[in-house]
Amino acid sequence: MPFTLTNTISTTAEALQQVQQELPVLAQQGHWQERYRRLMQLAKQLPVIPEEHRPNSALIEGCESRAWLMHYHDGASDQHYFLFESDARIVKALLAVLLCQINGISTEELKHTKLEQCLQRLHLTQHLSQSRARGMTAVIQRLKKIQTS
Amino acid sequence: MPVIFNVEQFRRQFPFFAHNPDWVYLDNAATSQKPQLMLDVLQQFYLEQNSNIHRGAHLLADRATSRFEQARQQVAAFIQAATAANIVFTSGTTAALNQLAFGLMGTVLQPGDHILLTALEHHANIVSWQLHCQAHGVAIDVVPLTAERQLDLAAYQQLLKRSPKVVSFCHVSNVLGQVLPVQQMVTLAQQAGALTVIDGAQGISYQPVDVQQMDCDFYVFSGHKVYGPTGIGVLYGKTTALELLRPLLGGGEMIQKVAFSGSTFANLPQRLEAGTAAIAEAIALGEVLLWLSQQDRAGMQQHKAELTQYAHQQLAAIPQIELFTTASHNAGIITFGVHGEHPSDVATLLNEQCIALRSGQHCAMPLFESMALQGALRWSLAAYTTQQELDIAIKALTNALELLCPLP
Repeated sequence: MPFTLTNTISTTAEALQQVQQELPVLAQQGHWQERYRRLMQLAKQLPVIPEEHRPNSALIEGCESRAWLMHYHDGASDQHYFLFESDARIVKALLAVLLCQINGISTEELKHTKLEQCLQRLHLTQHLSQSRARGMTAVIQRLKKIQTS
Repeated sequence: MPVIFNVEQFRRQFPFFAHNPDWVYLDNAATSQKPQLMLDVLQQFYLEQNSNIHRGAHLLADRATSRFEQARQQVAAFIQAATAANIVFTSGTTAALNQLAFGLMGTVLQPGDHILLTALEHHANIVSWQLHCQAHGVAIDVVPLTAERQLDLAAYQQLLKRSPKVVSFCHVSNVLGQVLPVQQMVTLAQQAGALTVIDGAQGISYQPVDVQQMDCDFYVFSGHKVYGPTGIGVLYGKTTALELLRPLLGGGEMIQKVAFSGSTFANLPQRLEAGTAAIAEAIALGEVLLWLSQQDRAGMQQHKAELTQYAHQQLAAIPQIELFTTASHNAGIITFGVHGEHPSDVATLLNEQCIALRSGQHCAMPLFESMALQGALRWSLAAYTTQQELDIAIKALTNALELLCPLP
């Protein structure tokens, strides 16, 4: 199926909803391997954003791997949507964990979202919080810009 | 009589491992762990001897000064420098390279001149030159690698024909681990009339260094990569070479007379040591180097070579792994990728299993660009690394691969 923005936004939204539903279960998962396995399976449900649809302006600097974050606002329904991609699967999965908390919300809701608190959901494993979350702070900075624009 | 090298005995001298029994530390090219001896010297200095140096106002200052100067002699002895006056303390390799690039600009390097670097260099040996070369109209040439990722020595000789005034290269590549034929490269550079700078950040812990035998004009290294403290490093220079350097930093200790109409500078090496030095760290580095020189260095080198060989063999047996290094002429650095997987994902899963390694481009972006790679994983060994640790790391890697790319 050729890439269309509308389709991709809606498939992403569906996949993110599933991530959100599974998060509590995921956090309970005893074994770290299982958490990652499931995280990566969930990330696989997300559509791949072709390179030509990842503008340079969407590239997030400060990550060890490259990550792109695209933001769309549906004026009619006042809903904010995100598309994202990364070279690294775990980064893509973590972006999903972060963005599932804000995808589809209204301007008013977005404005009042405490983005740092969204990061707490990433503390799924013992070491993740310290290492990979570092790259996520760059993503948070980008989201803050969107929040205030 | 040197102590015969025994890895377990050597390792026991590093208290970090007892405090971190869960971790396998394979990031020694970034920094090494510290022997108890270093901690004792630092503590003793601050407890009993702390005073500023070269300000002979009182006995304590005199004692601190003499300990500091003793450290300079210990460093000189460790690298076989002719005299202690050839040793300038800096904050590290990066500071030393910046002093060199700044210090040679205008004195040795003039507009239209060339300098020669290699494709293997760490950012510190690239950017420090770039900062000044462009403004001074000095061109930077780069020795490329061969298809086998070896330094192209034929190209090196060709580029020397452009008569570079300065040739600066690493002793050991921090990405590919390979030990460069520094002796031969210095001789060729000298024949071309160039000053030679060796970045010894990775080389200093590999084998005993004899700067007089190498005959390089400058050799620089950091203390913290050779079992010493952070914040202290060494700029070795031949006396004639050090005389060429314009001081990068001005301030206390480096002057003879200051007037608003102009100042005159102190003699070497103080001229290049403005401000209060990292006194305790310098003293600790001196003691660590003395201690290291009393170990069985040949045995340590042999041990690391065997482990390097072992790691390469083990990794080569895993089908998804692509090795970027070889075990020959390798100072203990194993760099690899996983087919179809981003190094950052592999590193995340190894981190989860308490394997400390480096992933990314290791401060050598131009090298990665020349290899057309986004990044790689790096295990770097030290003399205290054990085969058991490598086995744990291999097992952890197998677990990570099972998660990322299960074989059918």
